[in-house]
Amino acid sequence: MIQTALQIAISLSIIGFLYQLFSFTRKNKTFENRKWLANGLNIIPFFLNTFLQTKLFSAGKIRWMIHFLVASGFIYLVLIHALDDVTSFYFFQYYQPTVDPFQFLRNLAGGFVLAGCLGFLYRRVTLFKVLYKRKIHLKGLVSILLILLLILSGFLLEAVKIISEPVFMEMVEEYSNLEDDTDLEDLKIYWEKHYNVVFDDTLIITKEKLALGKDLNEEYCIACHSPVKSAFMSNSISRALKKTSVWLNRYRADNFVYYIHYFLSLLILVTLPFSRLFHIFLIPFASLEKNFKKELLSLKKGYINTATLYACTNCGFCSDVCSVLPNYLVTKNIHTLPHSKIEAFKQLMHHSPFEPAALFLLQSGNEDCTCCHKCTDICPSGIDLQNLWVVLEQKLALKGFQNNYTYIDSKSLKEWTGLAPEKEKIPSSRKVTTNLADNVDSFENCIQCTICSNVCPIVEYDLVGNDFTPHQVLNLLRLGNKHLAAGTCMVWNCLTCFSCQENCPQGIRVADIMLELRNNGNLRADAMKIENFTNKKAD
Amino acid sequence: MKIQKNTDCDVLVIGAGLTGMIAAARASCLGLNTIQTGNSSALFFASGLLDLLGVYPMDSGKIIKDPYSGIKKLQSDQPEHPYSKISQKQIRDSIQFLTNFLNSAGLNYHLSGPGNKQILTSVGTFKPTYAVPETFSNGCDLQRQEKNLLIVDFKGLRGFSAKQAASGLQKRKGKTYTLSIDLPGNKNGLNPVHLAKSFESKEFIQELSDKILHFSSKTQIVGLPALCGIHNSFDIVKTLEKKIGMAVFEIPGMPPSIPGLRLKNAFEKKLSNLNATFLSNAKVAFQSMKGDHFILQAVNDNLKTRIKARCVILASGRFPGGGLFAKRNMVLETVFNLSVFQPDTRSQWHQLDFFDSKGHGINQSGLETDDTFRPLDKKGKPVFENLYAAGSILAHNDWARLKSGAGVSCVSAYTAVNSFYKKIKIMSN
Amino acid sequence: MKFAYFPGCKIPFELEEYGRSFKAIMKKLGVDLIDLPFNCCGYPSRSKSLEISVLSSIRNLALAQKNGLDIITPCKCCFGQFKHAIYFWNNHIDLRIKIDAILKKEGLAWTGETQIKHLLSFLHDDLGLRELKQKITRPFSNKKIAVQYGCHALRPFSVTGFDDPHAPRIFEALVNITGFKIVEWSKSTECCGNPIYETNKKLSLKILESKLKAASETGAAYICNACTHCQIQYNVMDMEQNLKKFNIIPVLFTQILGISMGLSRKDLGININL
Repeated sequence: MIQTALQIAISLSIIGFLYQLFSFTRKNKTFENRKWLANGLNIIPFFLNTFLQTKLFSAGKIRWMIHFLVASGFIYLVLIHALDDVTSFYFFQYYQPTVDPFQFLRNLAGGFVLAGCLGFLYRRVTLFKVLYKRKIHLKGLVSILLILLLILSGFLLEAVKIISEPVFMEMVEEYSNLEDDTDLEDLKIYWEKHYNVVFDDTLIITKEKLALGKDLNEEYCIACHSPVKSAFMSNSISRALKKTSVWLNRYRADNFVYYIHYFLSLLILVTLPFSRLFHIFLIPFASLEKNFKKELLSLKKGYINTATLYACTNCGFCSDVCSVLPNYLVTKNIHTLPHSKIEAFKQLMHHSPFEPAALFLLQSGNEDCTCCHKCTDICPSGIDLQNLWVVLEQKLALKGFQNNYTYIDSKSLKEWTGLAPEKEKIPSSRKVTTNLADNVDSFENCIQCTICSNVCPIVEYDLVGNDFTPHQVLNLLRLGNKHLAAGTCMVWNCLTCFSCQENCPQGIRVADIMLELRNNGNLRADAMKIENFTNKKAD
Repeated sequence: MKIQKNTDCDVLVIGAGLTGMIAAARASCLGLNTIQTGNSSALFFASGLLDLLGVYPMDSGKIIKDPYSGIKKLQSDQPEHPYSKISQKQIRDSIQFLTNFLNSAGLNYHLSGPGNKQILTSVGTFKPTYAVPETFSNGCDLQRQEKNLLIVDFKGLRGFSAKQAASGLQKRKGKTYTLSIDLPGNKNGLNPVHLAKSFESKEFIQELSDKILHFSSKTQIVGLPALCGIHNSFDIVKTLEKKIGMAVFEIPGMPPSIPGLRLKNAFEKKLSNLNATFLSNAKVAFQSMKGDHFILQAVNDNLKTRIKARCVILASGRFPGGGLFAKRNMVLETVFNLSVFQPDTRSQWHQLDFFDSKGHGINQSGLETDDTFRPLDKKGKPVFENLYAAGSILAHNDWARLKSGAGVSCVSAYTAVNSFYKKIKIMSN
Repeated sequence: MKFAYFPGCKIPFELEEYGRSFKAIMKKLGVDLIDLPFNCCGYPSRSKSLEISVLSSIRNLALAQKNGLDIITPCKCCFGQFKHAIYFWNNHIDLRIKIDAILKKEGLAWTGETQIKHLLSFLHDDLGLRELKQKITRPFSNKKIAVQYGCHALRPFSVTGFDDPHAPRIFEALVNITGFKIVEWSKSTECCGNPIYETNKKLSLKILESKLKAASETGAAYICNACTHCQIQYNVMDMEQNLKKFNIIPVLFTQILGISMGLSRKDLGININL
C-alpha cells in the first residue's frame, strides 16, 4: 500500500509540475513581448543565490539564518533520511538510520528545521502587523505548517519507537539468535537502562545482569544501533512519554505515527508545485536570468517571464526599501508598494475579473514608481521587479488605464470642463495644495505683461500643440475658471523650469501655480475616471 | 525655519532696474564690494533708448533738439529737479561711463552728434532720444531721408503693425512700403522674445532676406521691429544688410522689449564677471544702524540675509517698482520709511485729463535730496550719511513727460556712487 | 567632513557612473559619505500631490537629522525639490501639521536642523576654489566645453538660493579649474526637456535638439552636466543620432573633475573619449 501511495504521489507531483510549467508558458503567451532568457544567463549569481542565498543574506542576516536553518536541515532530511534507500545505503556502507552519526545528524537537522519554522511563524505573526498591513498569505502559512507537522511527527515517531517494546522484540527477532530467556532479560535490562525502552514486565536490575546485557548488546546490537542519547530531540520526547508508554505500546502507536509521518511527506510532495514551496525551484530560475537593462527602460520595453512571478515568497523586503513609501503613507493606496503590486499582477495574469476600481488603484500606484531599482536589488528571490512594473504599465494601458496626462490629453477642453464629476471621490488627504489658484492674492497682481510667456520654453518650442500661454492661464484664474485652466496643455506640458516665476516682475509664483493646477487636474481626472466606471457598473 | 546668512558689503543697491544696474556697475567698476537686490525683469519694460531730455518745457510739449541747452534752461527754471543738482560735465561723464560699460559687454550705443535723434516708434510717432543702440542708428531722423523705406511686420506679433508705424511717415519725401510676413507653424501668435531668438538662426535670416528681396527691389532701407536677436543683434543686423543689400534698422515697440532684454543681459553678465552679488527677488527691510553701517535684512522664500552695508543706494523706483507705496491718503517710501514729497491731498494726485499737458501731481512725488542725492528729512538734512537715492524715486522728476528717464537714472546713480567713493577715499587717505 | 549621501532614484540604476565618480571625488577630497535608508526626494510626485512631494523630502531630512548629518546630493532636481519642500513646510501650517503627524508615527521629526547641499555649492562655497585647485594634477587643455546649468537648482533663486539665476557663475568657475575652455552659450540656463520626457517625448527631444544645435554652433565638443536628469536626457537613445550629428559628447562634471584630479577612468566609470 505504501509503495502504491508513493507512486501515486510522485506521479501527481510530476503532473502538477508539468501543469505549472504549461500554465506559465500559456500565461506568457498572453503578453505581446514574451521572452525567455531575453538578457542572457547570469551564471555566478545563479549559483550564489541558489545555494548560499546571497541576496537574502544582504537583505537581512537574521532572516537568512532562519531560512538557512530550514533549507539546510530539510535538504539533509530529504537526501539522507527520506531517500535513504537510494542514497545513504548506497553511498555509506555502514549506514543505518539508527547508527551514529546519522541518528544524531537527523535529530540535529530536524532541530534546525523546527527552529527555522518557528522563526517563520513568529515573523509572520508579529512583523506583518506593523505599518504596511501586508496581508498574511495563507498559502505561505500552509507550507510552513505542513513542514512543522512533518518534523514534529518525525520526532514523535522516533520517540514512540524508542519506548516501544514490540519494536524491541521485532529487532531481537530479526537481528539476534537469542533463544535463552535469561539472555533476553539481560538485554532487556540493558536496553531499559540505556535505550529507554519501556517493558511491560518488571525487571530486576543487578550489576551482573547489566554487564551480561552489555556483552549481548555489543554482540548483536551496537553495530546497527547507537545508544539513543545521541537522538537528543526524540529521546527527550520519549522520556516525556514514558508514563503513557504502556498504552502506546499496546496499540502500536509507532505504526500509527509512522503513517502520519509518511503521508504528510507525500502530501508535501503532491502539493509542492502549487504551494509556496515551489519557490525552491523558481528562485534558481529567476536568478538565472540577467536583469533588465537601463537602455530598455528608456525605450519602455519590458518583457515578462511568468514563472519568476511565482518565485515571490511575499517576504516584503521590496516594500521596506521602496523609494515611494511616502506616496503610500499619504494616499494609502497599497498598490504603490511592490509586494502588493506583484500579487495584483499575478491575479491580472489569471484573467480573473478585476474590479475597475482596483485596476485604477493599481495604475495610480504603479505610476508612482521612480525606477530606482531598489526592489530588484533587494529581492531575495532574484525577481526582476523593475521590469515587471514597466510591463504592468503597458498591460494596464492596454486595458485602458493610463496616466492622467494621456487621459486629459485625449479630452478636448470642452469635454474636460463639461464632464464635471458629481462627487469628489478622492480621499481628502490628497487635497492639501499650495493654495495659490484659489487665493486671489496670489495672482491678482498679474499685469498681463506676458514676460512669463516670453521666457517659457514650451511656448517657444511647442508651436503646434500648445493652447494657452502662462499669462493666459493666469488670466483664466482671474476669470474664475480654475477647472478649465487645470486641463490646458500648458499646465500639463510645463517643464517646471521656473523661468516664469523667476522673471515675473510682480513676484507671482507662476510655476507653483502651474504645479498646483496639475495637482488639481490629477484629482479631477481621478474623480472622473472613478465616476466613469461606477456609472458603467450601474448600467 | 529660514536659513540665516550674514554678509558684508560696501554698497548695497536696492533695485535692479536701469538705475540699480548703473549704480551696481559703477560701484563694481570702482572696486567696491557690491550687493544688489531686486527683480531684474524691470528692464523688460525699458525701451533700450537712452533719453536725456526730449521735451522742454513740459507743458509746451515741445521737442527739443539739443538736450544740453534744454538742461541748462531746466536748471535755471527748476532748481529742485535732479538735473539741477549737478553740472553738465557730470551728465556727460555718466553717459560716457554707461555707454563704455555697455560697449565692453558687447552692446554698442550710437552717440554721434550732440543733439537728440528722432526715432520712429511702432505706433507711427517720433520720439526724441539722446543715444540709441547701434542697431537703431540707420533709422535716426527718417523724416529728412529721401530713401525709399520698407517696414516689415510679422503676422501674429502683437503690438507691432507696419501699416501703423508707416502712418507717421506720410509727409516724407521718399516712399514707404509695408510688408507683413507670415511665419509657418505659428498658430497662437508670436512672442517677441521667441521671435528674437529665431533671428539668431542662420536659416531664419536666409528665409527673411529671401522674403524681403522677393517683395521689393525698390527700397533702400528696411525697418524691422526691434527683435533682431538677443545676444548678438549687431552682427545679425549686419548679416541681414549684407544679404539684402539695404540698410536695416530696428523700431522700438511694446514691452516686453528686446532692447531692454539686451540691456538686462549685458548688465547681468558684466556684473557677474565683476563679482557683484545679486539677490534676486529678495525683499529688503532696514533694521538699524550699527555705527556707520546699515543693517538690513533681505528676505526671500527660503533665505534671510542680514546685510551689513557701508552705503545704500536706493534705486527701488516708484509705484510699479515698489519703491513708493500709495496708501489711500498718502505715499510712503517702503524700505527706510523716508519722508516723501507729495501733493497735499489725494485730489491733487491726478488731473482730470489723462493727457493734460501740465502732467499729474503724483508724478512729481518722490524723495527730495541734497546735491549728492542723499534723501533729506523734513528739516532738510540728510537722513543718513551714506544713504543715496537714484532714478525715478527722486522727486520733481516727471521723466515720462520730459523724456528724461535714462538720463536721470544714469546721472543720479553715477553721482551717488561717486560721492560715496570720494568720501571713503578721503577717509582712507 | 561628513555628509549623508542622497543619490536620488536615478543614480543607482540609470546613471550609476555619476554615483561612482561622485563618491570617488569625495573620497579624494576627504569627505565621508554615509548611506542612509532614504526614500525618493518627492520630485516625481510634485504633479500628483504637494503633500506627497513635501512629505518625501521632509522624511529624508528627518532621517538625516536623526543621524546628525547634513545631506549632499549630486542631483539638481533633488536639490531643488528639497528646497521647495522646506519652503512649503515653513509656510503652510496645515501641511506641516499633517506631515509632522505622519512622521511622528514612524518616530521621526524634522525641526529644520538639516542643511541640504548640492555638489557644486559644496565645492564652491564650503570647500572653496583654492582648496580644490590644489587637488588638480592633470588639467585638461584646449578643449571646448559648454555648461548646462540645470533649472531646478538655479530657479527660483528665492527658494533655492543656489547662484545668480540670470548670470550664474559657480559652475563655470568650477569647470574652469579643470582646464576646459568654456564657450559662451546662449542656452546654458535653459531647460533640457527631461521633465516631460515621459509624457511628451517629441517636444522634450525637440527642446534638447535645439540646445545641442546652439552648443555645436559655439564649437563646443562637450556639454558638462552636474544634474542626474540632465545627463540622462542627453543620454537617451533617441539622442544618439543627434549627438553624432552635432559632434557633442555629454559629460558629467564629476568625471572631468575626477580625471583632472588624477583619478583613474575605472574609478569614475568613464567609457567615453575624454
